[in-house]
Amino acid sequence: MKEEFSVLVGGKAGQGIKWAAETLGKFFTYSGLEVFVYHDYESVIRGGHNFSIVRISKEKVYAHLNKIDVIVAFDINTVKLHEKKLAKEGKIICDVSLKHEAEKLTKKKIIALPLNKFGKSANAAGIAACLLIRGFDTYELLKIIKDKRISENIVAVNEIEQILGKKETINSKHKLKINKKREFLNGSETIAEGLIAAGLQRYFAYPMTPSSIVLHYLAKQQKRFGLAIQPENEIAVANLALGSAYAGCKTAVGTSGGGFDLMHEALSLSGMAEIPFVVVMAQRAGPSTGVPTYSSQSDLMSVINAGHGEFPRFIVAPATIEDAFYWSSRAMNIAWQFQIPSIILVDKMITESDQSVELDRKKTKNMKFNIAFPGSISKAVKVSSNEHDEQGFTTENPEIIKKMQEKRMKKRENLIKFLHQEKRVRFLGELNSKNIVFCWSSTLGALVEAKKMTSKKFEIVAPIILEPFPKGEIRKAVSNAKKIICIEANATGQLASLLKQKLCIDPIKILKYDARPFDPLELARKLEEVL
Amino acid sequence: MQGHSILWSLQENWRRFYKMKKEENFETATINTWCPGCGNFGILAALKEALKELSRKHGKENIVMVGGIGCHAKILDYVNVNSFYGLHGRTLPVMTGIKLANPKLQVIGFAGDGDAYAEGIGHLIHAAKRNTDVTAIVHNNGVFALTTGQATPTAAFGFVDKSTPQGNLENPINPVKLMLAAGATFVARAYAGDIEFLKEIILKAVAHKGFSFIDVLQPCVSFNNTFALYNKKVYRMKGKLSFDEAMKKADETEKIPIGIFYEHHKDSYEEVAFEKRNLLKS
Repeated sequence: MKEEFSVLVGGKAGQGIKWAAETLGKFFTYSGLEVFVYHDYESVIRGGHNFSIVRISKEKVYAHLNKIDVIVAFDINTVKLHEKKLAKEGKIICDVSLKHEAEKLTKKKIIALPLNKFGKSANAAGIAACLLIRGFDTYELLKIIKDKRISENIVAVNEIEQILGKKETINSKHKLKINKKREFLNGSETIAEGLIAAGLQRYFAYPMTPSSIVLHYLAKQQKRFGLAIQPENEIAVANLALGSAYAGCKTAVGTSGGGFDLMHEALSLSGMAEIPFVVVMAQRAGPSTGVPTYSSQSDLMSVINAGHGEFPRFIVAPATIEDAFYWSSRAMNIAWQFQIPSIILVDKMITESDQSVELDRKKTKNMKFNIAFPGSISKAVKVSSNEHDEQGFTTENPEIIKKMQEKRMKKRENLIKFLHQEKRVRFLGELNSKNIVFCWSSTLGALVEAKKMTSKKFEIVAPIILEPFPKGEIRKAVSNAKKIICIEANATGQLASLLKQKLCIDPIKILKYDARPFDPLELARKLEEVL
Repeated sequence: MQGHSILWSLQENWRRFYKMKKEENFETATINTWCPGCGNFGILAALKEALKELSRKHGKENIVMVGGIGCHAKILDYVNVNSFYGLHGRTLPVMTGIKLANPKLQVIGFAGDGDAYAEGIGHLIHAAKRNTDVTAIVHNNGVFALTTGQATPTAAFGFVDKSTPQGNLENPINPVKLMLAAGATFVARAYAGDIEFLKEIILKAVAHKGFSFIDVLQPCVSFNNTFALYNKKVYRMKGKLSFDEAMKKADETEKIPIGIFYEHHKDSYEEVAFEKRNLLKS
């Protein structure tokens, strides 16, 4: 096969688009190749237009590209909307009924097959056709399709193979060996696994895209760790979590912007009562309901400033699906070690995209902490939302208030010292370059891909820990810089304003706020303009 | 030498005895700041009596008190037992979280009528629906007292206060009926002026497996002094009621019945949650 290629699967919601893309993703991951899958779907259950892009490569890939080699179209809309993305030699696979209309829309090669004949297994037939025209053996595909419709799927795959065997010349078939040790996971799953690795016992969440998959995954894994429960609302979620952590269980919650807003009061309580509180905060495009199923990076300021009063907190924004595993486990342990709120800030590009990953489980630990719980000691364990003395009794005494506030804020200093051992910032590209490009969270993926497409020299600086802000390392990195750029998927440049606030750096901003992730090609072009 | 050691052991025994005696009263060093004559004193007295029995039965360390925000919640500072002094209206989710984390703990929650019936009414209904094995005690005085007098959801129609100087425009809710309809498996009403009976009800509520709810009529001497009214109208109920009888009884206003309106048995939420988890395919 060539170094890399991309497949776009599109159709209406309910046609099994996501399943088809994930099955392709698993197929190539287990075959030893690197995969990144992006899912684009509307907030509808049936109808509308959904598509997924599967990028397959010999090298590690961190984002999808809008340059497609094969389109598998389950409706005419897919041809209409995406044929422009097709490469010169690109092909479109569709049902025979769409052939006539598709030919009017594009000059690209159309392979019309009787996909709809297989009913609900049309998606299996579609991906089988895609594999065959790229010269892959479908035999191994059958091993992956373990589904309710397994027999129908097998019939579909076999029939498509017979048809294409006659029509298309299949070159030397790629013999692929399935190795299930390699994992094909989305960010929600790596986050969940990270939390479990750190000793998660209770998970509470109210459904909200794009954080719900963490709940779905953990609900299935309850036997491995404890309980995953969906209470009446996010306020309940946060307070259940604080009760649970107070009673000694490592607990986490998951939500998105709107749900997180409802948790602010409990976040502040966590700060005051010094109860570990772990939040998986998956951003989506706001404000308000915004664009529920699309991505954005517009809640950095929200999580940094959330909750009234002053208290230390830990905020980490893992930049890749793989990193999310390690940092989720760290976030849990840090919350317990320092008894503070700990926020894992991600976005839809991480929680809902899939990637072939290898999780380094040796790096994570289920740490034990010496904290008193009710029932564990004979002395009463009292926690309080009121200002309180060391025993937990309410106080209005100015000396004690000052002492306790200082005691809590001291934890921030200790946390900063503790975090010195961590890689708080990722530096990539030409280190010590005069050109510095900042980004955070999932945008790193698109930037790394964009870098491969431009000859411009620059250093990528991606802060992973955003609170306490890693000032020292960043100051060092920019000390010789001539040009500083900051790339973010929001409208105001929230990391840029942090840089200004903390380090008096005023970067050139490249922003995107159409609720779609950065396209590496477009980003490369923009960087060339600015650099 | 021997004399010394006997003396020491006597002293130690005395110290232990004294400590036990002190612990038994669950006293703390916090100065009580409720208004003199407040109905909350009755609830505190009944609770302390009940706690004596409960700590013998479950061990003091296994009892957890949870409170919201308001006059009622100060009770946590006055009792030397594990406690979680939470947010206004959020007593019930904290209680559920504690119980789900460690089902061995006996969780007793305290909420004001503002907490339970205004800010956090959704949580109350859901706790009843879930049948979480916790006990919720609502200090119902029909007024926001710590904020110096505003109407709550149980304030009477026409009640004059700082926020409704023209008189309360809304009719009060009936907490007993609300909890019956929500599926609570133990629904009781008590009166802060009948300490002995309140203590009995608390003990029965904690012993009940599943969600237990006690609405405690609590006069507020500063903003809604109902002592004289309740002393005249309140009477202890006898015998068991069916669900329909309980619904009817809860409507009585000429005389005010106190006691257990309804109790029935159903698996608690925690039992079901752990059982269902074990049925999952791994």
